[in-house]
Amino acid sequence: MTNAVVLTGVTKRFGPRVALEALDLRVRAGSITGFLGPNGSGKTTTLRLITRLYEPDEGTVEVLGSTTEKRASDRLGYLPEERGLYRSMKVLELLCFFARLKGVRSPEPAVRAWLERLDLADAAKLKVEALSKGMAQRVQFIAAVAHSPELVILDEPFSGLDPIHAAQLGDAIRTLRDQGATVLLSTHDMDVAERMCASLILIHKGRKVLDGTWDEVRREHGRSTIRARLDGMEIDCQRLPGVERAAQLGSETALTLAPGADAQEVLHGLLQQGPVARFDLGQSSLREIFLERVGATRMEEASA
Amino acid sequence: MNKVFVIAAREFKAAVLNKAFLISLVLMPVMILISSNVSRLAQGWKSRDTRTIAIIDQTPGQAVGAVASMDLLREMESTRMASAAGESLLSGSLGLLFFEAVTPVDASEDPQAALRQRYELGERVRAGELAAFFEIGPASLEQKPANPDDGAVTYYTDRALDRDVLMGVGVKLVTLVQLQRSASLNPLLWARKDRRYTPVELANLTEAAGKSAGKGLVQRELPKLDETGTVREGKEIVPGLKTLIPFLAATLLFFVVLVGASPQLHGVLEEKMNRIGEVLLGSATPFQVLGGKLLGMTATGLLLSMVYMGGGLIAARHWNLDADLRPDLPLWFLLFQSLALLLFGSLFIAVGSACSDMKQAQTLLMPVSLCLSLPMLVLLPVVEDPTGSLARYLSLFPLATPMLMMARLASAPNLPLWEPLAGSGLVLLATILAVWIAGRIFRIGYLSLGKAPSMVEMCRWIFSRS
Repeated sequence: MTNAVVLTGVTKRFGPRVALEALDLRVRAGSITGFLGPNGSGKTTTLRLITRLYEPDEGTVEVLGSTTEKRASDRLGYLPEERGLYRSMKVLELLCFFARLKGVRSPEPAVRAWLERLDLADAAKLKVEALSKGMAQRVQFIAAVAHSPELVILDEPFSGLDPIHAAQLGDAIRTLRDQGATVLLSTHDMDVAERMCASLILIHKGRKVLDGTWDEVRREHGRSTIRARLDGMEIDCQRLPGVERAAQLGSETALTLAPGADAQEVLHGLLQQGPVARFDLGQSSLREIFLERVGATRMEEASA
Repeated sequence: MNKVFVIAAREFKAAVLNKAFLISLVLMPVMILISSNVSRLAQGWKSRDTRTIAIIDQTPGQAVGAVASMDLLREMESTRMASAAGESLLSGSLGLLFFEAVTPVDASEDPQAALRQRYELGERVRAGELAAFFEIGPASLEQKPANPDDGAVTYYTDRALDRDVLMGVGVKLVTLVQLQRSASLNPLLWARKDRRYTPVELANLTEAAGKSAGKGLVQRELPKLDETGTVREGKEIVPGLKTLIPFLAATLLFFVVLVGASPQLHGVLEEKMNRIGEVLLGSATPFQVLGGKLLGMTATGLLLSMVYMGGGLIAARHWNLDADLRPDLPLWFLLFQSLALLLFGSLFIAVGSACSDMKQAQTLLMPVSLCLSLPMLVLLPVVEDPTGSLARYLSLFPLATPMLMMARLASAPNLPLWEPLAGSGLVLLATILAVWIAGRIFRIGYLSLGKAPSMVEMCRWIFSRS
């Protein structure tokens, strides 16, 4: 199985509002795929279609090779954006309950192993209402993975976690991938996506904006960027060849080059303006690509 | 203090400026009107049934003249011309009760003949031809009968409680006998339209009646045949447990639904607000989640019922009151209790899944609560006349069936079997429909937060694909 999830021509409407329109999407098996998009872009709707909480109005949704109404739900783990735990249940009891719902007959050993791994062994007997936000977040993560799913869908898994526990969770997600699971990671945190994901999907207003491996995305949508500073004077960006966009960052200027522009010519242009104190050549970050693609889509819509 | 008013103003606006408040404003008086009038209306409906009551007057020469007197009293009531004195002594309504005088058999040669005659009358009661029958004892007009039982008026019935017959006929017959016994008055004359009594005469009459040495009114079950085919006199009914069983059964059923099923609404609301629903529906289908909730709730409710019912049975056995309990009643009770829990549980879940908070739920909850409590308002007339047309039709209305059919079963042992079976079937169908509707609303509503849906939106949910 090459793709764990395949959406073909999926349209989903809520009354007159079109949440997703003819969406084609593929999540490669055995990878961590970042699922990005601004608020209201249709991410949660897409995830709910994959988990079969919703059915599409048009198109097909194939999950782990199954397109039928019969769910692949037991092979799927889902961490929703808004966390849901029974507050009056004890942690171990709750996690065993969720694992049993996924068809695990004796879930306790696996649950205890996960609790140990995420520093929650001491919380096993605590009630959920007694947990801190970060602890509840990790408990919710265990609820999504304790049954060893083949496909793990994580919606903002790092929100509310301190850097130590975020790193711990990141390691756990990579381990899941190494063990053969497919991870679909929905997040607004571009740094996380850039750091963890081999592939990326960006949707905006219910349509796919970009899709591919991180290298493909960078090659196709990335730009060369330059951070530059002249000694004792401001840069005149108008006189630099191939510069598409410029932004002032303190004493430095961030320059984004147009596709095909030559950085050497920009350096030459800067030297003509004065002595160059800093010149760092780099590639656009995911954040920049995200802003650029979403911005471009908005402009296309405005001009249409 | 200013801040108190600022908060008060916000609270007031939030409470008043919403649809729920306006709907409550309209529904509240409607509910009060319905609640306060259902019982009265039910009494009115009940009176449309005509019923015949047989009276055997065993006094020598049938001296009491009971049937003629009762006919005259009914005529007086119907024309509303009874005197104030008469009304105070002979309270109650005879409605459309008709009387049949039964000539007593000659028991001088065969002591069993009277019992056989009672058995035959009992068979007519069982067949629905008679509502009940009375026997005025042979020594009723004697001041001090040798055997107090011979001085009694006996009311033979197969019902737990029938106030119309008990109070309307039984008490009137006893009064007539006591007045006759006073030997100074002929009841037919006493009951004449134009006769008026002075307070002194009235007091004398009452005193004379009170000095009776007889047993007054005795209530008995219908005579039965034993294993050898011999007629056995019906057991004396001691007012108490038997009369209470229909009320206890229906009330327990009602409260277990209230205690067991209504928390489902809060549970579903809590799950929606805590977003547990999304996790659950990621693991199980809406039907599985709903089915699990209903089964869990039904099991809890049944446990509650069995604890109370078991406790009641143990107590009844301890005080030797269990002879009045029919063995089939607990089985019917458990069946109707399960169906009521499933039916109302699914309605509560549907309301909970359609709303986002308790305030929204209040509006949608009203019709469900009304359906749950209305049967309790007509319980008394149904228990009093369990085989009447009002009781039959109301108890076949699925939302009222569990409580009313249970009350009927407990108060009328000879209820035709098709009635509880048809009632169970209809409730089962209604339950399946309610679970289906709840499932459709639950499927969409459970994941929705925000404004409560309108009735039109909910109908759209019910018939939409997803």
